[in-house]
Amino acid sequence: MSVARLVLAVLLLSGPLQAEPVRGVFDLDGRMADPLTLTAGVRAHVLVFTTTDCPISNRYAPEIQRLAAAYRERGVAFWLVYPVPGDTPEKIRAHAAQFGFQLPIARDTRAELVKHTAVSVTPEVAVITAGGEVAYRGRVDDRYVDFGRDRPAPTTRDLDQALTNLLAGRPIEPKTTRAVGCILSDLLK
Amino acid sequence: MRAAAIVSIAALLTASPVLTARSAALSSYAAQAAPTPAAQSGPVFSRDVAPLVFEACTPCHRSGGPGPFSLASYREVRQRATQVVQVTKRRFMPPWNVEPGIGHFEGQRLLSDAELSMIEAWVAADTPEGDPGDTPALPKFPDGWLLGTPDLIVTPPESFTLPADPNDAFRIFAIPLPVSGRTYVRGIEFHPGNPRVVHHANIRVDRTAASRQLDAQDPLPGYDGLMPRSAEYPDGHFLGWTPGQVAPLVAPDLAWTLEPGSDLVVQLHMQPSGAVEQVRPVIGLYFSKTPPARTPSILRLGSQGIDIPAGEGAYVIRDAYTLPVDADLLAIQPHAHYRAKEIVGTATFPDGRSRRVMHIRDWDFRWQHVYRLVEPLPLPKGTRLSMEYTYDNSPDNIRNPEVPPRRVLWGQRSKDEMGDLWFQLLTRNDRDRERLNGEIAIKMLAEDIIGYETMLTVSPGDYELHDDVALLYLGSGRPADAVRHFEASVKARPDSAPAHYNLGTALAMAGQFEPAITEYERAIAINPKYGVALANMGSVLLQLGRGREAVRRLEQAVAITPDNIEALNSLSVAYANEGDIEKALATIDRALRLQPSSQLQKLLRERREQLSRR
Repeated sequence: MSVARLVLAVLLLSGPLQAEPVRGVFDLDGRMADPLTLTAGVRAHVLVFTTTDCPISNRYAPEIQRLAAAYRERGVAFWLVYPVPGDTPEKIRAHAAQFGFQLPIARDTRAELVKHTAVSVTPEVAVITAGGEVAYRGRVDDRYVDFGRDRPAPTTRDLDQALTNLLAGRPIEPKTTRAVGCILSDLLK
Repeated sequence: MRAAAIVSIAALLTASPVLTARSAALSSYAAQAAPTPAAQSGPVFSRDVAPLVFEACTPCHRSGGPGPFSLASYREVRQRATQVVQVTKRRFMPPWNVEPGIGHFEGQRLLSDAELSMIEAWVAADTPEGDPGDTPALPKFPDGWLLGTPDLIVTPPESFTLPADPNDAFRIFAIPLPVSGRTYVRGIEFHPGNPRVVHHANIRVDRTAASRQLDAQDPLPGYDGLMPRSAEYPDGHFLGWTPGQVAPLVAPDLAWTLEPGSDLVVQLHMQPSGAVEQVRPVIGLYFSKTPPARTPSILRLGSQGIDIPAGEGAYVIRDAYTLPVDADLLAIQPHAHYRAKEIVGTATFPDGRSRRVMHIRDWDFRWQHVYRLVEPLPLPKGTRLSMEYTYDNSPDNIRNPEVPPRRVLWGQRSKDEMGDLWFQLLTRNDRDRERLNGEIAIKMLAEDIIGYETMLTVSPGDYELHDDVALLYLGSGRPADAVRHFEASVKARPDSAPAHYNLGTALAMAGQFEPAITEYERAIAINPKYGVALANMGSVLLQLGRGREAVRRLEQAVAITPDNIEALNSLSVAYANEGDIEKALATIDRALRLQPSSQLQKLLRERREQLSRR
């Protein structure tokens, strides 16, 4: 990682930091979308990977909306990312409406964002900071321990803590956690 | 600038060994080529996996089914392959929590170790399809009524709106069963209405208006809380629903009797989907034309004295009962909440042999299930049925609703704990059944009393609990204990006339006549028109030989409630004791005109004869 830091330091000297643009990510109207690049005044993006038919993912909808609302004022923008090619814009619109999502949506049918963030299931989240760096990747919280084994309430709210630490300038620890949900390597086949 | 950034990120990726490894693993996403066709000796979908999946998974996992996604084609199964291996290996799916070898139950879905290995090998080989021509036809899944056209279909008048809250929710509905006369029911078929969220249903029948009133008091459809005691399993029949289960109709001669004016009481356990959902179950009932010839009995073993310390990882309860008659075991239903871990039920036969009739190692509250034996198990007289449940109230139990754990006691709310094992038993004849039911009633009543005492340690000021348990004590011939609880009830609401009346009556039944009179006086001071209090007070005064006072109170009583036959009976005795034979005879005649029970009628006629001879 020391090499990486060095490169970043060079970058910072040479001008404003930008992420590698993604080319195969689109919004529901077919326009290119780039959730890895932060817009001005935004301190982080949270990419929420989901699919239209993953029950665990769907059950997180109220919690995702709650966190998105709580951090909006603090300069964090949440995105919904649908990587499964079978999730068409029509299906996604219906899904977002059914679950009350009011977030920008990206279709990642070439799994570029999946690869960049190294998520493996839905729901899984990635916190993106300047330069497209993945500051946190993993579960929203520890409610689910396994399929069919879940706590009545989470005891650790990993995403919430990661964002709080990020905004306070503190290190994020752990930077990755294991999320439980629908397995993307199968769904993307 | 952008070009520079691209180069830098590329450098980043190669510079970090962690990220490199990850991107290597991710390159498998690119490998989307069709699986290599079978040169296999190994398992393939069409020939090996499909028959298993279509039988064990697809009945629920299909379009419109209760499963959250469909597993009805090669493509669909392949897209969940890793997950299928994980959930089958852990035996979370198919949902069948009973250990292998315990018995053969209706709807049993248990994959063998060989079948699990086969699925795993198939996924390890990257899910080869094999020859699609070998794929068996998908079974037919009728969307309508699986048991045929119901004789009666009922549904709550309105849908219940389940909010998009992440927590499990419970809701009870009292659904009227509009039958014009006594009806005999062979079974029900439950349709959840919204299979995405309805996880299971507890179903009872209430022959009283109690459930209906609770439902009516809540402005929204259904109500929260608990079912009243009057909501019962009808005539020894379990009712209930878990996903994928349809209880077969019972033989016509085993049907249960549905009285007009009864309600079906349905408690739904719902797991929210993440969206706002509408829930409206539909229930079909199937009738028999003839009255039943046989009626099963239900035995409940368990403990209502559960009191688990915080952090206790292995708390055990046990109970047992020895059958006084021959019986067949038809079905078993375990019940416990979130801290129960292991559930064991055993039958020990008179010759000393024993066998487990229920064993669940990892109890899951969400899979409440009635286990119906395909072949009834004969239990000879003298067979000992026993249960042993183990609870984990430590932080290691991820289902523990309290973090950090707290002491938990018996109670019916899901945050309390329970431990019941219900047996459905069929005796050989009515005489045996009456004997069994009589013993079971006494055993279960004693345990119910323990349950109330446990709840009262949690809520010592709850006068309704005190009143309820006091009535149970009176019913089991323990008036002194009833007095203790009615005293507590009076303390909680000293201005309630019924509370004083209850205490007075329990005192009188315990033989404490003077204190009883004091309580009746208090009740009457609060409510001077309290007819039954006046009547009982008169009867107690009569016992004490205070005839003149008795006459006064009983006259007041019958003035307020002229049809109180017992008061008239007492008054006739009081008049006779005071020497007023004419009034005594007139009062007896008045009582006889009200058509008393045959026993009281006989008593009154005998007294009439005696008095007439004077």
